[in-house]
Amino acid sequence: MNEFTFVHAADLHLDSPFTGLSEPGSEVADTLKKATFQAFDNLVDLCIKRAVNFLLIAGDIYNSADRSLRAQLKFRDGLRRLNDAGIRSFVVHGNHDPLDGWASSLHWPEYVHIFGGDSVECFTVEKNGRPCAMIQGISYPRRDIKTNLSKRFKRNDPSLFQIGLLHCNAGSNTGHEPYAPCTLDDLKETGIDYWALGHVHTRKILSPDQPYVVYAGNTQGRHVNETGPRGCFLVKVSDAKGAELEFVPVDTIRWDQREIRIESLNSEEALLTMLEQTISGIQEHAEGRPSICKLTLCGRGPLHHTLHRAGYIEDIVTQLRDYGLGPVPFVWLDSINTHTQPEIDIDMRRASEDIVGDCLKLIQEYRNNTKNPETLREYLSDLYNDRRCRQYIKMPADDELLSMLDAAESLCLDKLLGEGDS
Amino acid sequence: MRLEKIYIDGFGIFHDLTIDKINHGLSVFHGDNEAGKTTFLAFLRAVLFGFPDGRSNENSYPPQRGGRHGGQIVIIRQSGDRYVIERRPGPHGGSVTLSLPDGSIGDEEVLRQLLGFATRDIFRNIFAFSLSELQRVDSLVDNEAVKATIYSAGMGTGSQSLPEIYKDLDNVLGQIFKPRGSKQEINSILRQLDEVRRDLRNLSGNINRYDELHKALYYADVRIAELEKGQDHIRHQYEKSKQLLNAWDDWIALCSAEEEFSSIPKIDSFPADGIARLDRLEEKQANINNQLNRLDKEHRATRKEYDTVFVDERLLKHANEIHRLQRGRDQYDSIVRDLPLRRQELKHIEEELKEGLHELGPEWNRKRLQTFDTSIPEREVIREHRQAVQESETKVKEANNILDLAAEAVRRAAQKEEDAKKALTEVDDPSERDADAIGNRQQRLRGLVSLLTKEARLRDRLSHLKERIEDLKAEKDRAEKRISVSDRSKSLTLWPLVVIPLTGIGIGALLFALGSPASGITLILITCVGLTGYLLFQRQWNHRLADECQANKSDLNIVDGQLSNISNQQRELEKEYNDLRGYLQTCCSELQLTDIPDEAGVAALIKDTDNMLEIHRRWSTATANRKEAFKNLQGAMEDQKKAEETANRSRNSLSGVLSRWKEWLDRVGLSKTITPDGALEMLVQIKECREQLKAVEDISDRITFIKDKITAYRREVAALASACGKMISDKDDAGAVLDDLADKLAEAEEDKRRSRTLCHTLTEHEKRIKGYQAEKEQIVKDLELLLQNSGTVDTEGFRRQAVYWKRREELKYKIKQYNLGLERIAGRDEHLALFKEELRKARREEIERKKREGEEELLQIGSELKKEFNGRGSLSEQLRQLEAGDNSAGLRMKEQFLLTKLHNAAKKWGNYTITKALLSGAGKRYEQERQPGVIRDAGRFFALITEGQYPQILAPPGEATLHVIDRNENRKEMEELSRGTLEQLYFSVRLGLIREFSTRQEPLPVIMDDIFVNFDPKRAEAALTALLDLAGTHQVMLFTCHPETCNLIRKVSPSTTFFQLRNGFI
Repeated sequence: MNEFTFVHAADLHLDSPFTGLSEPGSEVADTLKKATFQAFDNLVDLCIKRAVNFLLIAGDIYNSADRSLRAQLKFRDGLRRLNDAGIRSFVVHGNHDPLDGWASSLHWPEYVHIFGGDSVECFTVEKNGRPCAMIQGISYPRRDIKTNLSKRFKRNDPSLFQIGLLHCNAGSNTGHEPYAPCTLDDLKETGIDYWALGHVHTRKILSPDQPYVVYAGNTQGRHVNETGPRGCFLVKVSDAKGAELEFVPVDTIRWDQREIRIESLNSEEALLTMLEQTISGIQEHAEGRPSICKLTLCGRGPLHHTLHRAGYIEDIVTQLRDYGLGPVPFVWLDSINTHTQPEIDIDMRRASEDIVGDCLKLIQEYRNNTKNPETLREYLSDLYNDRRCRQYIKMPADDELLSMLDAAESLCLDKLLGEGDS
Repeated sequence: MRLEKIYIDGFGIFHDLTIDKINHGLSVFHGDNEAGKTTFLAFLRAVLFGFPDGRSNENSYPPQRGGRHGGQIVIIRQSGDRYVIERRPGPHGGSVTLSLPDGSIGDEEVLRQLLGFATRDIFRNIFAFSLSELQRVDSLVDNEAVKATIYSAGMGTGSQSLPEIYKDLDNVLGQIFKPRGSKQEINSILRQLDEVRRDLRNLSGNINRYDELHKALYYADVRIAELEKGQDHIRHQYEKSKQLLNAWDDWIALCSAEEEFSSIPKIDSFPADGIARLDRLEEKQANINNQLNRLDKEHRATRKEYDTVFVDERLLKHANEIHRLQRGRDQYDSIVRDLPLRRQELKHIEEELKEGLHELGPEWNRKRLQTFDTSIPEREVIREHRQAVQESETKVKEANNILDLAAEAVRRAAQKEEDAKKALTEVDDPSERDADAIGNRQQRLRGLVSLLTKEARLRDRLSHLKERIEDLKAEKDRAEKRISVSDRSKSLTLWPLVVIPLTGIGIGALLFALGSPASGITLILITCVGLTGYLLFQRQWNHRLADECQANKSDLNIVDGQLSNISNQQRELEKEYNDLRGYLQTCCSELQLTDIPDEAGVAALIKDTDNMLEIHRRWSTATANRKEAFKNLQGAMEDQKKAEETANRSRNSLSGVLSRWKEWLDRVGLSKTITPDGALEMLVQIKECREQLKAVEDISDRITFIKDKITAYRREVAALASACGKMISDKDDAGAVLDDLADKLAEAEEDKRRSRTLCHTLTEHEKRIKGYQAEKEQIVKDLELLLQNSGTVDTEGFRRQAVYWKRREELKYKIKQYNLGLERIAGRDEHLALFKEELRKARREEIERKKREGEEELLQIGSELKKEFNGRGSLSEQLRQLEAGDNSAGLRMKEQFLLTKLHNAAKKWGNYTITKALLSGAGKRYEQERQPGVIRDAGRFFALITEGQYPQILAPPGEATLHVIDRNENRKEMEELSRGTLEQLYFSVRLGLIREFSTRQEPLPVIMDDIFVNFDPKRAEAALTALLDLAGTHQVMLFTCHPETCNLIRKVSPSTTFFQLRNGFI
């Protein structure tokens, strides 16, 4: 067998918006707008620089629902660069960009193969005029594919390295929609040597030995839960060593979230120093990339009341944004959540025979479901059932309601006890 | 606490009024309007809490009937302690005098403490209030202490009340969202989201045009290609015409140049730049001739000057010696000037040395000066002796001082001992030397005073009860009389029933008989009617009498009951009184008193014990003083003895030190009269003399050295002058001679330099003349060669030949340039040949016509192409915009940002809404379950007064208001209650507050001024019952002007004490 290398990527989500951000500055917004494209460019550069034999993209290249022409054109331009460098590209579409989704009439370069959705197609790749691998793949003809597509794959030529290219939910990936569901055993039974999978945004190697089953993850994190490096796998296949996988980050902006406890912080200066150190740490951790972060302050400490002063957190955020935008690459602080509590013994206060005790007891009753939480939802219905609001927001679920109850407990204590008493 | 006795000196209409025998429970003060009830209430407030100050609206009630403004109140606390408070007007509420139970005087602070730190406001609003205070809610809720007691006790909240918290929360919520608002955070986000989505919808429609635009672009490209093809052909023709026209002028000039070139004689070669070269050679030749002439003149003049220069070689030979001596010249001059100064200095120092030796003494000379030992060890020996002498002298001096002080101390101690002895003889000897025994007697006498006070109080109460019994007996007699009168009145008077009808009938019959039957019948009828009327009146009268009799019997029963109660009380008091008298008798016996003294007698006895204690104190003090003085005298004498011994030891030590010093002086050969300080001074003088001796020797050596130097220098100068051919004598100044030699040397050196320069110039001139001559020969050779190269023999022929050559070269150049110009237009070789052929055949007019036509066609096609390019550009721009898609991406990003902001804002709204709901729920729970004790007590009173109509009072948490719950559990606010009910509510709350305060402090007396006027009889009675309940624990004084209120009180509490106020008297 010829030795060959390829790159396995997935879930580019070109030109799809970032979620969970409130109000980034213009410089940050500009970087965000370009981020998915820049990540794709980095992917193409990697292929050219490392002179790989082909590129595999396992679905969700863009979001059809966004109807972004720019995403498709940029994608075509990137593949054209690979074509010009003599590198082949193999693409399947996933649930976000199914074949029946909106797409413009673009002309794809010669070395690009986009798999159809009717059946699994096979394609033999040559190196130096000799076949080295066989690639099989199938696109989503429509969005809601709930059938096990892996069953349609089979080993066609025993002498060639077999690669399966598929967008699916293998195993039980909670947090991801169950499109084209299959099990690890389903995949292993097909005789495919390397499964290049897409759909799950966090990279995973489900099977580290042949047959390899690999999720490349997305090339660019798009919200605060998609932290850490994002990129693709560079796979080198040889007779002696089988497939050697190397993860290469291609993302252009990193997400980070940190939790800071306030117990040991006795002054505003100490808090600011701690926050600045955290931001500096995030910057160091980002491997030379700009970052977006969210910080959460928690615990009980003397600064609790200061943090809940009107406008204080907003001022700190503004100050830290300036601090984060100073160095290059920048760190953009999106928000600071305060989940802190006053320095009081809640259980003791709850037992007290006064209105504070009554209030804490009432909250506990809601938590223990001895009082019906639906009554709380009734209070919220003015907003959440409002004609204009309900198309954008949903009535909080139980866990969100508990979170609100925690925040309300803190607020009640602040209001009832004031700063001096707690 | 209760008010026992009140004395009003002067206050409003009151003057010199004493009120005592005020009950512990309820006392009623009845009086008509202006009888002085309100004045009396104001007096109590003023004495207890101070007179109102000038800024207050309150009346200060200045005395109208004389007396000093103010008065006195005697109060008794629960502990039985008795205090007298007297207050007179003045700054800060007036001056107060508080007599404490132990007879001492307390100030305002002690009074405040006594009154449980209640303020004037609290007393006025809670404990001593009138109808006007009762009717005002602000008198309750505006007082922070009262408010805190009613509304905040047990709430546990911080600085904010619940309504304030609700307001804060509502403010925040109102800023986040309002269902019909537009500026609120969420409303604003929703509006922006709607706009973004609308823009996105619009954009999605545009993107469908992308393929159509692609097609349109393709067709535009095809049309442009066709037009460009036609344009190329026409442009080719046009360019050809343009080429011919451009080349036309050059072509004509080329033909002309070629014709002239062929007419000039042919010359094969000519030196390049021949004429210029000829001109340059001729010019050079002339220049060199000029230079040679000038140089020859200069050479001859220089030679003449060289011959006249003379150089003195002898001076030059000794130049080094002259320069060396000149360098030493300054030193020579310096030492010559220095010699007399040194001699003067030597003389001066020798005189100083002589004087120094004289000061040391006649036996001192230069030799002894150098041999005397002034070393540091020797100086240290002297210093040691000096220190030893000084220390010994100091010790002797100190010892003498101590001795003097000790003698003085002995004298003073002896004097004090004498004084103490005298003082003891002057003090009285106490009869009883045991002070504790006197103190015990005094303590028992003080106890006797309180027993006597109690005995007086019991006696007063017995007297009061006796009077009360007398009153009740009188009242009983009156009631019995009323009953007997009623009983007598009840029996029917029968005689009118017989007399009147018989009289009427008799007269009627008489009239009938006398012939006036009508009158007789009428009279009989009237008599019958009158009889009937009398019978009816009698029946009514009997009923009324029966009712009255019943009421009087009831009163009699009440009076009997009261009489029985009071008689019982009297018996108990009498027993208590007798017991107390017995105990008093025993105490007096123990104190060796035959009879029970009165309070004044006991006071005199206490005073006696005070005197005895004072005498004992003085005797004790004098005795102690004498013992102390004697002890001090003995100590002083001891000290004096010790001081004498110390002084003797110091003097012996000093004489030893001095003898050792004299031994040392003898050893070094100095006079024995010298002190250590004198010896040290001599050492300093010896050192100075030694330094002067050293200076004398140094200066003498220096003078010798200077003299030697001057002699050597003069010798050298004389030798040098002689060598240079100049003779000098001893009188000549060596310096001047040397200066002269140096000047002459400088002149000789200058002559030498000049001679060398001239010699060098002559050599140079000769070299240059040779050079010019060689150059001149070379120019002649070059001229010959130039003529030879041009094929001519003279310069004239050369110049003619040059003109021909130049013209031929110009024409050759022009022809070449024209051909190059044509080459640039048409190309080289065969293209050029073809082009020339076309030019040869062409005519200018024809070419110009073709060019004009081409221009027009090109313009037309250009216009069409421009149009097509514009259309294509527009399509490309549209495609570019669609491809760029920046706008849609930006909008989607904005949409996400807005959604995030919406979620955050909604969460915040939710947090605050839930907070408000929780606080509201907790507030309700608190309201139901945790009302403060005041409100609970007030609720019970209110239920009692309203006979269960309102079973509960609520104080909504954090609100300065009250709600009541009626028997149907409906909640009512204060505004919904009638005036009377509202006053009953306030009255109940005050009773609750009084209870609450009394749990924390001494119960203060309660004073109320006609507060039941708006109560209906039933509720008034119920309120009175509640008041009597309070009177069980508090002294209560009720002022009223309504007899019915008094009657009601008598009815409910017959034992109540009544005081009648009338025009300033009680």
